[in-house]
Amino acid sequence: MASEEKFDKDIENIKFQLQNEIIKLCSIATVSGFESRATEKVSSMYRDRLDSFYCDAVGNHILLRSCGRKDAVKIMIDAHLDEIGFVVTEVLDGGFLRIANIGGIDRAIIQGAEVTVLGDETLHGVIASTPPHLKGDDDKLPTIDKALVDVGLGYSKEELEKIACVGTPVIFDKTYTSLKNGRLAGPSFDNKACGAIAICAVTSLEPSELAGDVYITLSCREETASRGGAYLCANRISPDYAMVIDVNLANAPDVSERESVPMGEGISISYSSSTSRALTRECARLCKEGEIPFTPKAEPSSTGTNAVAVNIAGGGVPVVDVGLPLRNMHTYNEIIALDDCYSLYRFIRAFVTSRELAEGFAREEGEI
Amino acid sequence: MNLYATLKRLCLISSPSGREGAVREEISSIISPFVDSVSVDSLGNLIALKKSRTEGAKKVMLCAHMDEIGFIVNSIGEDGAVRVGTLGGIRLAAASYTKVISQRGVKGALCANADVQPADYKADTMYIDIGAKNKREAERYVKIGDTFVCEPSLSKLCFSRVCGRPIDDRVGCAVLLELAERLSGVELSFDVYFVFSVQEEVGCRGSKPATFAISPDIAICFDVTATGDTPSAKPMACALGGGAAIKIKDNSVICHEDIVKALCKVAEAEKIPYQREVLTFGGTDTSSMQLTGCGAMAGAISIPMRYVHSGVETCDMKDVAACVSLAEKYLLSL
Repeated sequence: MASEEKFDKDIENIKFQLQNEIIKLCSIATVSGFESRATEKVSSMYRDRLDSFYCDAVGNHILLRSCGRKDAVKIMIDAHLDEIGFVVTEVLDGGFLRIANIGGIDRAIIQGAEVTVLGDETLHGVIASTPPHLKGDDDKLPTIDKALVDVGLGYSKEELEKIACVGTPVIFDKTYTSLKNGRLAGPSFDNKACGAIAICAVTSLEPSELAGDVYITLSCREETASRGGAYLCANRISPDYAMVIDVNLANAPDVSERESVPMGEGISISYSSSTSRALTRECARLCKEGEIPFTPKAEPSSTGTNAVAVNIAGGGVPVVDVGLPLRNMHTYNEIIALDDCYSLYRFIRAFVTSRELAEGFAREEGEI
Repeated sequence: MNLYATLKRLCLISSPSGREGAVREEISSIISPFVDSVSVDSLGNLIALKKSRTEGAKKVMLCAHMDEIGFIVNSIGEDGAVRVGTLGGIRLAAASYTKVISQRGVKGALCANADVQPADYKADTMYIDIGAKNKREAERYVKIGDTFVCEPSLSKLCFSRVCGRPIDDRVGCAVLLELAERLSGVELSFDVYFVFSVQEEVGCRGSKPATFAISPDIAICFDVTATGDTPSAKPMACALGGGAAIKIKDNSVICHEDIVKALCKVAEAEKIPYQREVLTFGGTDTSSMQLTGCGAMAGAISIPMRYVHSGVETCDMKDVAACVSLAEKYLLSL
């Protein structure tokens, strides 16, 4: 009895640690295209636990945890670092900024949202909204490129330009709330929650436990450049095999069951033409052996994630696509379940320690 | 070199996507005296290299595309009407009822089927009337796969404005040629690749293999951008005559912040008029240069332009001159 209690307590401790690490990484602003701004912060969070940390010319952050053996396989774990946001397109008189979206944002959710303008000085603002009293019944929502941020009266155009010129990124404010049953609500879980979990999982292991050198790529520009960042990472690393982790649409009332995965019942594993069948099969086996809950998800043509790009990088990379269920995608209150985070954590540990995978997928010298 | 004269010379040679040979020869002959080597790759990109004396020097790639939007013949009707598909983002309402010219020099009128309204124009409801009575006559002048473009022209408007086509992107090519001349006697500590790319208008294709082969450290694109200064234009803080546009973002790319900052700093220091560009639509070779191989630090100097992809594309030569100066001073600052 006593040992089982301790075991449960250990699990709770890991979940608590995951929650902290997720919130820490998600709180860093990494608007797609502006990832390089985060290098200092990301580096200081993880450098001590890694063998190397590198930011490339585009904004990819590549973290290496080496197994210490020569000629070891290279395992790539990709979770994109970038998040949706906005960019200032015009500075107006009276403390207003016109913005356009970076990445897919529903115009229905933005009015009244609190935002932070990441200019030379950080400004708080609210996205302007037309009160219902002033709207006709048929008035449509303004398109997103007409949205305005109110940063407070008192600025002339010229003054405001000095702080937040055209091109300044803007993000939703970062507020995190715990819901019941270990559910967490807030912005940017897509996809830094997965990145944080991957780093926790890999660095929780001793180097000797790793089946190869593990490259965690916190890749850039998934939201804006057709997954170009992960493609560059895979070209550079040339891994033997790879796992791409991204959030997946979670089931909720009025969400099509066919197009979503259940929440709180583990990770999802994609079956798709852009991923490796053999590697996917092995991963499903790892889950079954380790009693890690997962849902298979059929995505016939494309996973819609970085797996598509990693798969065709370099000379081709066997890749598996793994999902963390998430509700309210691309809003400032995305929801994830810590139970699922823990399942993902366990799966990543199984993936990077599996000797069978390392043997089965090691690229042979001179292989065509 | 006179910028306007160079621009006009380049505009008057047609160069639809995939058929850029004639303009390439012209550009090649102009740039040769200013660089160490000129080569053409397997896609048809023209790559002119100005080498530094430093061993293992860094590589800077400057890119403007040589191709223009146009049409490609896909069938000829029994009535002699030449049917075409589009090469790139043709605005059919703007192109209709203007004269077009084929790669063989055959002229024609681009017309719409009589029962179609301008809002519904599609390539397959348009045809080119080359004056042939029937299919047999037409086939003497036009073959399937021939390309057509809207007639080229360039005129001066009031002040320093110029109007015509295809300023997109011969103006970028003209900027690079002027830049090559200005730098011809200058020793730089890095290699400069002047790349004149093909097939940009059909999806930024040419610059990909060129970037892969060069593997540059820094890549700067020279292309046109839209403005927000015409009646009912989409909101955009960019105006004709407002100076060189330093790209922050378009729909295909978000430029590296350090490049944006460096360009702005140079413009401020040298008192070159400039504006910060956030374009919410459209794409450029900047994206393909950024995301090829292991990636490059990418940015763009854009030439503000009204009425992009029409027959009356309009630019301000002062902006063009500002783009040349900005590029020159930026390179000298590296």
